Amino acid sequence: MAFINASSPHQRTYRSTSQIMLWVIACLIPGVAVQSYFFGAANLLQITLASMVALIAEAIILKLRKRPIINTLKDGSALLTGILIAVAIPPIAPWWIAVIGTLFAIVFVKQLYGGLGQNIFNPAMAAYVLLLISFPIQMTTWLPMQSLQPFELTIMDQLNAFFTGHTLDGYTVEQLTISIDGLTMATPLDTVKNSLNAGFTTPEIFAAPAYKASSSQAILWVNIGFLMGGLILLYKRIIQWMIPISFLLGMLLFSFIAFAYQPDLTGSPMFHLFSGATMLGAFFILTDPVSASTTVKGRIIYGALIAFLVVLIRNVGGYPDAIAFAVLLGNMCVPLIDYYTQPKVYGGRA
Amino acid sequence: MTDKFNLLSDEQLANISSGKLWHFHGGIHPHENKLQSNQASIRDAGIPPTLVIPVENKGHVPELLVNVGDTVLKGQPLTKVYSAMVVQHASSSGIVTAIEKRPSLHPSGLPVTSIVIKTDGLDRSVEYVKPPAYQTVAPALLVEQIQQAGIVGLGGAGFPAHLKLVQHEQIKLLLINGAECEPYITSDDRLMQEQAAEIIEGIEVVNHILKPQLTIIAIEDNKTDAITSLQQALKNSPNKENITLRVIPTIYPSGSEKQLIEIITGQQTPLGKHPSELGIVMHNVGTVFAIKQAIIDAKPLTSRIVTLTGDSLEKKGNVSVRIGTPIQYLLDQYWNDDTSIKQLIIGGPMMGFTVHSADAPVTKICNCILTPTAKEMPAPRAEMACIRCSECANACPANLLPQQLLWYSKSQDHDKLNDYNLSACIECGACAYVCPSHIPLVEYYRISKAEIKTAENEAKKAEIARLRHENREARLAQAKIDRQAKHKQAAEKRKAQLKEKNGGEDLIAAALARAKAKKVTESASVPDKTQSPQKDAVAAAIARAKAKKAALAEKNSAEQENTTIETAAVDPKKAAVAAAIARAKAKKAALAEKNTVEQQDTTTETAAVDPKKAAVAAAIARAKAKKAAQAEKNKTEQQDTTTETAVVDPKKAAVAAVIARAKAKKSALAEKNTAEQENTTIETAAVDPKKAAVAAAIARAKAKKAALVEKQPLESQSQAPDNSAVIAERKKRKEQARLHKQQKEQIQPEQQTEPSAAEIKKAKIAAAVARAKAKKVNLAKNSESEEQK
Repeated sequence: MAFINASSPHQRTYRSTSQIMLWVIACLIPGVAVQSYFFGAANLLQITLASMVALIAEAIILKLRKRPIINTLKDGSALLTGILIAVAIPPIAPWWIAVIGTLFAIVFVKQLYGGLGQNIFNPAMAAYVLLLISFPIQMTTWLPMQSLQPFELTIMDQLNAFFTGHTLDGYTVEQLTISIDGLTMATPLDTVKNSLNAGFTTPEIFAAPAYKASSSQAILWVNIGFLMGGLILLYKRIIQWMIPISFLLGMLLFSFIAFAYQPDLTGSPMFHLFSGATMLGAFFILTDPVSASTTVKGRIIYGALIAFLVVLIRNVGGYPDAIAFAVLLGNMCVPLIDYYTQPKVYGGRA
Repeated sequence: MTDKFNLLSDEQLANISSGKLWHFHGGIHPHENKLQSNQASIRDAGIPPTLVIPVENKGHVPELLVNVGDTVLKGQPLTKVYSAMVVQHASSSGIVTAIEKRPSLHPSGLPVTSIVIKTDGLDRSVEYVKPPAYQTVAPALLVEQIQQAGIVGLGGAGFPAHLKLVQHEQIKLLLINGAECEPYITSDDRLMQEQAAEIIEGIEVVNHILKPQLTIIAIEDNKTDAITSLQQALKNSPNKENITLRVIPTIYPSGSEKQLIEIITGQQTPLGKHPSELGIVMHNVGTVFAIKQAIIDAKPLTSRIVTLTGDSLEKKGNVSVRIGTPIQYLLDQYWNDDTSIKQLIIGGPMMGFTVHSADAPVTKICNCILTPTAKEMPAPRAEMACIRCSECANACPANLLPQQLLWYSKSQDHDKLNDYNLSACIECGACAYVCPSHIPLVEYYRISKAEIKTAENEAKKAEIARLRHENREARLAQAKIDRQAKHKQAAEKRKAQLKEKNGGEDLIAAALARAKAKKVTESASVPDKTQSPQKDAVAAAIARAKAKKAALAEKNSAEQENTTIETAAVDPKKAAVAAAIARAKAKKAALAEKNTVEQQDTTTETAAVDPKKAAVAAAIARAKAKKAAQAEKNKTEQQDTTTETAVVDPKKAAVAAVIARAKAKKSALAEKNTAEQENTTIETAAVDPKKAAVAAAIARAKAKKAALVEKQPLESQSQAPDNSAVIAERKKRKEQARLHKQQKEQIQPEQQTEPSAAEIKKAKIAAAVARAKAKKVNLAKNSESEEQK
């Protein structure tokens, strides 16, 4: 009788890559739900569209590369990339923004580098940067909170705006961003940056009505939503504590240094921690295992490095939110970080 | 760093004995699955009808003590002690039916030499003589007895136990490994529960051999019954102060030697070194039990405890199996007929290997036979891409980076694999266990390790071959030098001997000189003997060739020649005198011409008689040459005059010949062959007027050549050499040769010897050729002479 030949070990844990990805997608739900609540359900449209494009694009490329399609799609990494892009872009952005971004992410940043596990850069962030630089207007048309919107937007309005750029009533997207008072509403970070450039100090900014109109509360809650999701991931041991903790502590530390140096001209650490995409980045973007560092010490350095870059770009650089740029710069440093943070092997000399 | 540096220090020992435990990096918690097999006590597996006992170890077969057809008893040694290998014993009584290659207990299933015993079912054993109390025996003898008893590490590695006990100085810590961290396996658990007292006795024996400062039994906390049993046995033992029982947390792979040492002592064994460098020796409880049986009961190792488990088996549990029992026999006893066995794993699920067929025998390293169903251990899922999640690095007990090792393993980068310490991998399987992408990491590492080993072996072989080749080359070169030296020595010795014999004369050199001269005169005198125009033509041709060679090789000599000729032309008196003398001598020599040697002698005599005059003439010629070298116009004129005079006046030709002779002697140092040829030709020419003409022609040719050579620097260098003069000269020479031949025929017909028929034929052919050539020369000469003038 011939028995099956196999190499040890013959038992394996049952957690697989697809399970990890699905867990991550699941833990995005709290943050996305908060976002939908405050800013309308348009982001769900974006998510749907981006997911479809991601899966289709990956399938086509896998066919061209003659790789198994269903098995590879099942690992859920393309789906996750699409969803992250959809969460990152403004909900009211036109449909082609999501399409271009996702295509770029899947085809150029992921598959052309060799597929899952071989890409150097975080696909979602690279796509975000591409969109931000190529289509700055569409990428900065953030809607205010629903309660602050001048016109009430139904889901059909949003759908229409999504596909045509106009609501059913004929208003353009840009018009929607102007509040009752005629102030152009942007994200809190955006507001702070523009006002600082205009010469105001931060206490003045925070007291001004423009800031209140900039949905700072909503953004705060969105960040808390993502924080919740991230903590669930940590608990379930889907991600490891090193990167998020090191990133958040780094943010705290570096923004505190900046704040202590010039309190009138920089936002407070809490402001930085709960604005923009900080929490999303900490738990969902930086922790992308493929593009992050792999060693324990390396991950801590990676998180701190990105935190430093975020604070630097936010305060000194030209863009309001810097997570995407900082992540890409951190990705570039990963091979070097990995090389110099190898652990000492058992029995090796220190 | 000396070896002693790493030994456990006393503070460390104090720390250890205080009960402190450390952790190793990583580790996993797979499902234990031990309850299936550790509930029942150990049963005896019974006597199989055939026993197959492998005796081969890594290709070496020790000397066997039995032959086919012998009757053996249980416990009878089958092999002789061979270096560090242990002895194999017969596990039951019976008859040796074969000694042949049988499938081994190895994933490859490659056949190894085995002794096949057909058991008689009686299980008669050799007489076990109770040995003296071990406390009175020297440790070295005990170690030898352990080797004789065939005891190897029964934890699964199979390392000969006596080798760990050999170095019995400086052992600080004796660790008894009762951890049994691998899932499914419970053989050590049951052994500790049932034979605790014997295990303690065995530990005491090892204590006596090694005399360590501290003895610790390590056991995982999931074996509560075994812990109780051991504690009870320790309480009853008289030596309980020396032995400590340490309970460690359950984690895989805590039973691995290096990891257990780290747990108990907090120290890491240096890479590539043995734990004995730390002063630590570790033995499995099963080994210790076997040692007790060997030393105290004088029973050699003939059976071991094997766990039979896996859902395919109807009855699961531990059995005491005789070494050499075919696995099929065990399966027959315990197998559930309804389910078919898909996989046969020897060992546990983490580190066990699969075997192809159940014919393989149970050997000393088999501690578990695991036959899972497909549901229990599903086939591995398809390998997906590595997502760099680093779960593997988190789990690795050796603190390696399995992800990097995988990268370099796939690209077969051996240097990087060594940099990342692939050799430190203990193949525990923790990394592959946790990998979410189902990558068979350990398989990659095994393949890479094999590749590296093969490459190293080949490099070693290549190195040896290269060294051997270099040595051989050196040896051959040296032999050549020695041989040459020897030859040289022998030659000198011979020379010296001959010199002694002949009173200081170097006969050989003289003979050589004679032979050379003979050769030349033969070639020159051939025309004299045969007296045929063809031979004369041939001789003339040879003379011409020689002249050409000399002319080409020696420019300086040609110039000197030129100058000598010039001086001859300038100063005819002295030349005439010398020429006259030479002629006289030549005539004398010609009368006595029969023996070429005599001729040589005469030539040499003439040369010897009149060296002064020749030397004088030569010296004058040299001086003139120097003077004349500056006046280049004269040279050309003189050349013409020399050629003309040579043609018109045979006297002057003779003069030229003599001078040429002198020159030839001078240049003899530089070019022996050509000079000798010239010398002989010129000398013979001096003897014989015909030859004089030939020599004259040669001299003329040389002069002409020298003139041409001198002419070239005068003229522009880009001009192509003007060959027309040379061609004319050659034609003139040919004509001269023809005339000379005719003269010969007329003057000396009586000296003709009887030629043979073949010679006549050859001569006729050569004559025809020569005639044709002469005709051509004539025609050309006529036209050219008109041109030139």
